[in-house]
Amino acid sequence: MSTGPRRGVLVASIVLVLGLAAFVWIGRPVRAALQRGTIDGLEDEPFYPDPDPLADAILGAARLATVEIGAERGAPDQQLLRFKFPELHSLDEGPWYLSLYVPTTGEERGPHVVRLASNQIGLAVQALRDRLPPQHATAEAMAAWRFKVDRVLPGRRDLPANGGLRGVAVDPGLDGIELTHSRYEQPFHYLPSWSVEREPKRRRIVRDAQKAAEELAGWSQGEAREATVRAFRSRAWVEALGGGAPARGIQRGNAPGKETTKENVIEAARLAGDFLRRETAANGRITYVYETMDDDRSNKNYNMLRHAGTAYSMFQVVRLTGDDDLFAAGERAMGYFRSRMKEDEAHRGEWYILDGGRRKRAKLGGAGLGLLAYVEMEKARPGSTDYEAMFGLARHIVRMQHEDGEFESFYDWNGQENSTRKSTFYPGEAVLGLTRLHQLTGDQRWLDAAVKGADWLVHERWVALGLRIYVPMDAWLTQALVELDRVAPDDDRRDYAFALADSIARHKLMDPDKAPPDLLGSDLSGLGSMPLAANAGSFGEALSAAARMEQRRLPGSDRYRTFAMRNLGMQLRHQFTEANDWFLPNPEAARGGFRERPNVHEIRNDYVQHNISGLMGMLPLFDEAMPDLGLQVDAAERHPDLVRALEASR
Amino acid sequence: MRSVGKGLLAALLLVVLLGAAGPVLMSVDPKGVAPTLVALLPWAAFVALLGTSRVARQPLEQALVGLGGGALGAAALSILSLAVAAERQNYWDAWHFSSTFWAGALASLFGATLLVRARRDSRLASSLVVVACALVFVFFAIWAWMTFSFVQDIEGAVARWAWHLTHG
Repeated sequence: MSTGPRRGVLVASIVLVLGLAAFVWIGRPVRAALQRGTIDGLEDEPFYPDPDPLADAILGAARLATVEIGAERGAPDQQLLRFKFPELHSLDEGPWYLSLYVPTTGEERGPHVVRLASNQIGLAVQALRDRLPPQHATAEAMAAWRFKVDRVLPGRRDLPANGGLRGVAVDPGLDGIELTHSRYEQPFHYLPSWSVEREPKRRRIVRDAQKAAEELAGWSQGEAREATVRAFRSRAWVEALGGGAPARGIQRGNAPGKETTKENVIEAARLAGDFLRRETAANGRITYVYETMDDDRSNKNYNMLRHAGTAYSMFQVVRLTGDDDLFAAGERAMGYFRSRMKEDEAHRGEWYILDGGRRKRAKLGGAGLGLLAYVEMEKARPGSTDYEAMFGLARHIVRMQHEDGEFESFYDWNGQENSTRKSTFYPGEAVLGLTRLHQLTGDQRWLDAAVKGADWLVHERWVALGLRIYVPMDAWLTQALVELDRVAPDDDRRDYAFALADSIARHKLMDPDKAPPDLLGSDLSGLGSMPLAANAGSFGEALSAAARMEQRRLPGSDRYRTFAMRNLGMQLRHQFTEANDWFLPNPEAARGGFRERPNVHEIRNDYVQHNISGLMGMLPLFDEAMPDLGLQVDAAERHPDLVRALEASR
Repeated sequence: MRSVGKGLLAALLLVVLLGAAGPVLMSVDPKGVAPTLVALLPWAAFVALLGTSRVARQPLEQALVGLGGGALGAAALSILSLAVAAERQNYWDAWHFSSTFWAGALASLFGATLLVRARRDSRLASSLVVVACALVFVFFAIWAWMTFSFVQDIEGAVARWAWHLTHG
C-alpha cells in the first residue's frame, strides 16, 4: 500500500475513534431527544386551556351533586343537572374524566377518578363518595373536596416502553400515559397532571403509570407491563373556589400564575410571611422542611444559616406589612439563634454561631446572615434588636478577614477545625451583612471592611495568571455590590455586579418565544429533572438588585429589569396559593410556601426566604415608595438605644 | 526507518510518568491530593519535554515528542475535569487551575508545533497533526470562554438549545 492510502486509513481510523467517543458521550442523550416528538393535530393547542363553558358546567354540576349527596338528599338526576347546566347537553364522548381530591393524607387523598362517558355526573359523584370511608363522606368533609376535569384530546404518540433515557421522551405534567392491553376494552389513562402531583422522577413516570393502572384499575402487574405505552395530552380545569365562578384552566399541574404587578408581589410576600409565621414554633425554630405531600414537618439536619436567613426575610415582610404577629415570630426566631451563638473566648465581644449536628462548626455565612437578620430587625422595629449580638457578629466577621480582604470561611473555635474549604457564598453574605450594618449605623469601619472584602472578591477571587476562571452565580455578592454602589461607587464593582447577573441569566430560560410559558424565567435542569423553582428566589434577589442598579446607573436600559420580571413570574407561579393547591393533603398549611420544583412540592424554609427577598427586591422597581432594602438610616432616626450601643462599640 | 535513541525514549518515559501522575492521583483520590503538587506536576513534565525536544533530531523523534506534548495537554484537561467534577473549586486556589491550564495549553501548542514541523517527513506526525491542532483549539476555546463574555453567551445559548431538545 502506498503512503497516501495508508495515511487515509489512519486518518479515517482516528475520525472513527473520535466519532465513537462522541457517540458514547452524547449518543444516548441525542437518541433520547429523537424519541421525543409531537402529537399531530395539536400544534395550535394553547398551552393553558381556554375557558370552556362545558368544563364549567361539569364542575358546577359535580359541586351541586356533592352538596345534595352531602345533605343526604341523594344524587341529583341528570335531567335536573342538565336543566341547571344546559351546556351538559353538549357533553361528548371526550373522554372526560372527573377527578376528586380529598384534602387528607394517605390513599383516601386520591385522586379518585371517574370517566364521564355515561354523562351521569350525579351518579359519578355518588360513586366517588362510596369509595371513601365515612369520615371523608360527611357534608362538612365533602365541602372541602376539590374537583378537576380533564378532556383527553385526540392524537397519540408512541413512547419507548421505559419513557426513554431518564424518561426524556415524556414531559412531566404535559404528557399523559395511555396504556392499552388486549384484555381490556378501554385503555387506562394516566392523566397528565399526575406526573407532577404524584412526584415520580421523570424516568419513573411510565412505571408510575403502570403502577396506577394496577392500583386504580385493578390491572395485574403483568398486564400493566405488557401494555402498549403511548402519550396523549389533555385540557384540564379545576373548579373555582367556592364554585360558581368559571373553571380555571391548568397545565403541568399548575395554574397560569399571577400577573407580575406590584399588588400581586405584595400579596405574595404577605402570604409567604404568613407561612413563616405559622411555621415558627414557640421556641423560635422555623420548620426546616414541610413535606406538603405527606403533610409532615421535619427538622432533620436543621441549618442555622438558613434559619438566620429566614428570620431576615420575616423582618423584610414586617417592613412591608407591619404585621405584629410576624414580628413576634421573627423575634422568637432570633431568640433561638441567640441561644446558639457563642462568644469567642479568645476575643471577648466577638460572637459566632455554631451550626451542624455532632460536629459543630462556626461558619462565616452564619455570622453574615445573623448580622443581616439583626440589622433587618432594627430597620423593621427601631430599638428592638440585640445590639451585643449584632456588633459581636460584625466584629467576628472582621476577624475572619485577612489583610488583603479575603475571608476565611470557617473559624477554628475549638481547635478542631481543619477545613481549607472556601465557600462560594459565605464571603458575599459577610460583605452584605457589613454593608447593611453601615447603612444602619453610618460607622465607616464596617463600610471599609465591606469594600475591602468586595474588592478582593471582584479582583482576586478566581483570578490568577491572566485568567478569570469564572464568574460564580453569587446572588449575595450581587446584592452587596449593588448596595455598596450607593455609598461607595466604583466602576469595577458595578461591572462585576452586572457580570454576576449575566452569569445567572445566561443559564435561564429568558426567551418568551421559546420557553414553555410556565417555565419562563426558570433555570436549566438536567435530563431527568425539572428546573428548580426554589432558585428563582435566590436568583430573583440578584436579578432584582442588578435591575435596581441599572435603573440608577444605566437610565434607558431595561436588560436586567426584563430578566428580573421574567424571573418574578417563575417565582409567583410556584408559590402555593388557592389557585394551585388542589391536590395537596393540607392546602391551608402549604399556602404561601414556595416549592422546590414544579414536580417536587417540598417547602424548605430557605426556599421561602429567598423568594421573599427576591419579591422585596422587585417592589422598588414598581414603586419607589416601597421598602428600600438598602435603606440608609439617617443619624436623626437612629433609636437612642442603638446610638448608645454604637458609642459603646467604638 | 531509523531507530529512536534510547536516551530520548528514557526522557519520554520520564515525561509520560510525570504527565500521567496528575490524572492518576486525581482519579484515585481527587479530594486527598495536594493541589500544589497537582499544579506543579504538569510543569515538571513540560520542562522534561522541552529538554527531550533538544535531543530529538529525526522527524520520528520529533513526532514522538510532539505526541508527548499532546498527551500532556490531554492530561492537564483531565486534571481540570476531575477537579471540577470533585468540586475542588471550593478548595483549590485560582492559581492551581490557571497554572494547570497554562501548562496544558503550552504543552499542547508545543507538541502541535513539532508535529506540524515534522509532518512532511514523518507519517506519525502527519497522522497526529489534526488531533494535536484540535487539542490546541480546545484550550483556545476554554481560554476564550474565560476571557470573553460573548463566548459565555454562546455557551449559554447551546445549553438552552440542548435543554429545549430534551424538555417541553
